[in-house]
Amino acid sequence: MSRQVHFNFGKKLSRRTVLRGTAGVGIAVPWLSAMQKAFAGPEEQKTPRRFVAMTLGLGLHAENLNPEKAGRDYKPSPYLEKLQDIREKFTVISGSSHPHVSGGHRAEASLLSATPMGSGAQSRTTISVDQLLAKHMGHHTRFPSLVLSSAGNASPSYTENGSMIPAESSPARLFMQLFVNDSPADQAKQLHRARQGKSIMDLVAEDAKSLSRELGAGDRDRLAAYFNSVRELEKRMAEAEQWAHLPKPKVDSKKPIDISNPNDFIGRQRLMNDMIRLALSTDSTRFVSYHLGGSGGVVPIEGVEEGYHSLSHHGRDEEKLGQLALIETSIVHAWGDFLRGLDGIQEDGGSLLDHTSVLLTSNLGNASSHDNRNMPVLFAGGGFRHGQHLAFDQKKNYPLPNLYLSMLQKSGLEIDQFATSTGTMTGLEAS
Amino acid sequence: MISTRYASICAHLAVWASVVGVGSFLSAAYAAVPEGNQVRTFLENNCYDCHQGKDADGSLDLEALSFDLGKANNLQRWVRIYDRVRDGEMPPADYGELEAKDKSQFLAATHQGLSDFQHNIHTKYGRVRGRRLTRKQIENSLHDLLAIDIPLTHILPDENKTDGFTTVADGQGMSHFQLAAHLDAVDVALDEALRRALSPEDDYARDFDAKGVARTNPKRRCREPEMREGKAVIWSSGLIYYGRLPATTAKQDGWYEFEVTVSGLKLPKTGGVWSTVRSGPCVSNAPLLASVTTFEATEKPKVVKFTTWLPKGHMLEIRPGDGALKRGRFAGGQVGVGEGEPQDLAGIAFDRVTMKQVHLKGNDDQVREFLFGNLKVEPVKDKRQPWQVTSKNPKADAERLVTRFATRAFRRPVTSDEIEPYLAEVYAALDAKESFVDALRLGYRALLCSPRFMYFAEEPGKLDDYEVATRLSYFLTGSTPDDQLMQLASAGKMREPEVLKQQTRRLLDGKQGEQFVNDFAAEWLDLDQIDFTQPDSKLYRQFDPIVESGMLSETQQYLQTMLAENLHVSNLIDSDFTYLNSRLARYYQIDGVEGDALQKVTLKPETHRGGVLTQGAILKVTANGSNTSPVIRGVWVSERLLGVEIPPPPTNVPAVEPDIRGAKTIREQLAKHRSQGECASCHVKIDPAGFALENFDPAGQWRDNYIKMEGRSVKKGPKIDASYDLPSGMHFKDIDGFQKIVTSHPHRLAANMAKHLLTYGTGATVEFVDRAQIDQIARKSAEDGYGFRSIIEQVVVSDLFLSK
Repeated sequence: MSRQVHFNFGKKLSRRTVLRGTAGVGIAVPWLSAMQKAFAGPEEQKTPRRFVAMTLGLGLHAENLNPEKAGRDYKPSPYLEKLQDIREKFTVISGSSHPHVSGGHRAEASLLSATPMGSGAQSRTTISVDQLLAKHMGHHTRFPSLVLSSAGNASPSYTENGSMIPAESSPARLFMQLFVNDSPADQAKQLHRARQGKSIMDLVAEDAKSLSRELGAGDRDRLAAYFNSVRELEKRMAEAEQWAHLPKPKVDSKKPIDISNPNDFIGRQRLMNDMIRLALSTDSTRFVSYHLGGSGGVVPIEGVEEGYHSLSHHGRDEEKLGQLALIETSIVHAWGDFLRGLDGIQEDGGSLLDHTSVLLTSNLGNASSHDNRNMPVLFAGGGFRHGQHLAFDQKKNYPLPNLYLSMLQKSGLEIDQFATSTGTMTGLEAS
Repeated sequence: MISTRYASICAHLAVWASVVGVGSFLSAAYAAVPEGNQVRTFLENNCYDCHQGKDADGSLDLEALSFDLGKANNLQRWVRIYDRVRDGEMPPADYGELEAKDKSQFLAATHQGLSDFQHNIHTKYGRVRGRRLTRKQIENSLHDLLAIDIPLTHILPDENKTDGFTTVADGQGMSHFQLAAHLDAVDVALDEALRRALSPEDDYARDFDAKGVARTNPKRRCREPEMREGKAVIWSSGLIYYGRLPATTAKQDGWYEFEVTVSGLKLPKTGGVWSTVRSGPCVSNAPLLASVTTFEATEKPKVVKFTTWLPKGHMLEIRPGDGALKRGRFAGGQVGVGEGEPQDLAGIAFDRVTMKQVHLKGNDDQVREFLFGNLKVEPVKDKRQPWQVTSKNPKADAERLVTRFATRAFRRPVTSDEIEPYLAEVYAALDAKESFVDALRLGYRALLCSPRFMYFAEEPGKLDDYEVATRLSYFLTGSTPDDQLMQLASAGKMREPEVLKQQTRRLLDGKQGEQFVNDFAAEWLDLDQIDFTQPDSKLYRQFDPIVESGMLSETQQYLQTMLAENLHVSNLIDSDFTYLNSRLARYYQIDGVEGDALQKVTLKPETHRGGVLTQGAILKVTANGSNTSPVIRGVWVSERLLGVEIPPPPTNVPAVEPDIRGAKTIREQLAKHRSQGECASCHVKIDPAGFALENFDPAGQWRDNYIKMEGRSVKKGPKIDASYDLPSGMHFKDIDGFQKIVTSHPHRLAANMAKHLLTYGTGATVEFVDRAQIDQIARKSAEDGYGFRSIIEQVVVSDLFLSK
């Protein structure tokens, strides 16, 4: 078995090839063989572009994250010291945020959609950047997108009508969905049910229309959300029917064991990162959001004695900042290892990381005061020229939606605006 | 942009496809303006000095603040202005007195403007718009519709809480993910119902003596019980899965009723041997265990009874679990026979374990009746289809059964127009030569995915009888209305106050009342978060899962008593009794309680306990496991128990970052924080309740001092000061004083209770215009001594409850 596999996108792959990621997990990759014939048009012969958004519920302490100096020869900040071997793979962005987004923790809902919102009860968000990609390009893979979290179902991924997409928090369940085939009898039953499901969806969609007329304008929004969900599910069922005929990719690694301690933030982060890498490298999906919400309890790291959430409200207390730094350093290191993992997988035209934009950010620029400005932003891979610190104005923030627009355009979406973007991101160029 | 979209509200398909904001139609329909001039003059005279222009205090530029209540968060801002002026917080004291007449005119005009605006919207569209069943309600409904008992909530996504409750329509999401999960849950439910209907009754019963649950090979070191003097024994130890009983492994998913005859060995001084029962695969690659129950093993053998869900392949683990017990050491993670004996450990000894599969919601005949009515269902000699449903006239039978099922699923009689498309689908399946059962299954499956099942179909205005029956049933039982409610609805009696009260009493009687209290308190008091954090075991050594489960039972039992005996609402804050078992009593340092059953205990003043407020469960869910924060507890207690509304932190102002370096205790830190201008106005409301609880640590035990860490050892820290000077001039020294002040305002406590019940029961947040009715509910309940059940009854007969 070779350590790395180069995909040749000129030909169809007809055999399963095994590759090993840097973390020692072997993966069999059937990914183009059948898929390409099944769905891809000629434009799909290009290497796919992926996007992974990792979002933190409790921010990253700016003074430990952002280097003092801007530009390419910045001196690493404390959090980035151990990431210098992959320095050329990522960019640090400071002084940017989503315009007109406030509300502290609640701004999580706008983290990936950049929809302006205050703290009024009637604020609504709309489609998040990962879901926009999935909507236009998700049909090429078995899973149009993956929405994941470390705990609970909260996610920053939203549909167009502003419904949060519930996150999967169990790496073990995710593994089953990605890689474990159902028995032929189960498959046949599921196919039958999927076909039946489509006609049921037709039926209930009509019923929703007449019910909406009975209940009047007040309920129309919500029934519209139901109606759209029905139509969307119908479409997914049709796609799923095609996928059901095809075997899931095989991987060497075993089904993981979920970490039961809700406070083992880093352990859960690393395990889920492994699953994301498996999902990307087998082309099970191309768009992932992974929410790392803050747990209330004590993160099991030597030297950490207070709950994570309460540490984030450090009030500049040295002791608390010290403990918080221990946690956040581990988070950034785990993120670095994820990049290294992707970078160790070669495909046509570069590494998996070269074709995957990886974002680490948070709605909280300052968790201690619940400030939504000056968001922490690390951005890696995806075919951009990295290795720099883009320092914007701390007082008058640069619009972060511009980064999303750059990424979307690079991914092949022909749009010229996302949310409140004013253009593509200044200083971020294609490599 | 948003409001223009709504200009085309009557066009249907275009609207379906477009993205529409919730509040959008409000602004287009009603740009209500409070009495413009009067209000404007008042603001000019009394407020503009500080609140005008770009640099206005608190970024509140009153000159620029529009009266268009449908836009942005103008409504909330006006409500806040109203409240602050009414409460005398604004203009601030040092600004000078307001003319009483000016103030009352301003308040009246603003009140009317705000009320009219909301009233118009509620009349036209209803308070509650597009509410759907929660996942718990879906599970309960499917159970009751099909007489099945298989767990379903884990298939459906977690629900968001809005204003504390998952039932609130505003926060309920809908997406194709949600719908796909719903379809899965429906399929699992129908598969289970058909399995039950078309197979012999589940029949699995076992009776093990001590040898039957002990290890099979006494020479092997393992984690199963060892035989000692004719009993199967497990010693106290920290070893995981030690105490597993492979004999109890479930052969198929199901509910199992257990009776375990067990006694304690080498009892500790504290009494019996407190033990845990948990379930799981009990192997290392599936480490999660579910808690089943706890009990105290006594010298004399006793029978412990419990019923639990076991997925196929899961078994019980029963072991001593009291954190205070000495734990045995066993080499290599296994226990050999006789290795525990010399270590002087407490243990438990099994005489007998029986298990029997049971069904909780009706037997198989009931399942058959719900699915197939009076059609003959019987076993036949056909290997491919061993059970057969006989239908002489499949289409007529299908029409009858599908219509009946629709009536139950939609919670009202269905019209032929409504049912026709569903029937057409079933007929098509029959025409395509699908079996009668498959065709019927298709019909049921479609009905259960219909919005008429998933949503509360409530028309604007007064609710009709069926809508009332449905709302009442989901409020009190979390499930679909039963036969009696449906009959009353069909007789047109569901809106009669006496009928409503009588049905409320019926649905809150006995076990059902317990279920209501548990479901409601799970969200209202965050009891569903009880195991969200584990108190740091280095700091809070006496806490263990048995204590936690005792705390939860204490609060549930206490609230059940408040309901059953219709006790005064102030019992939430203070009382001279609670419910304890021996373990929790020891934890609270209260003497004289024996046994594992909860019992009513009279509390002496020196315990500082009394009321839900001081119960361990509440103290635990309001802390993070390692320390307490008067702010977090203060906000929680204010909102959940006291009915003091805490506004969200200011929006347009970046929060002032508290610079609290050098400050030491939480009190000093907060004092510093409060001194920073804008923080103070809210913290005077938040902090009192938080400080009053400072004498209770994060694990719910009383403390006189904070702890401080010196290296690895825990030392006594600064003394706790739980006192507070209230803005009203009143002062309290500690929790006892705080309780006295709070319980002297029962009306406010009752109104708060009513507000939470209404939010939970109707699915909409209580708003400005609803305040008067909330007040009225509290006043009426005063006639019954502010009893918990009386408040519920007044809620149920209120206009708010009986209108959309």
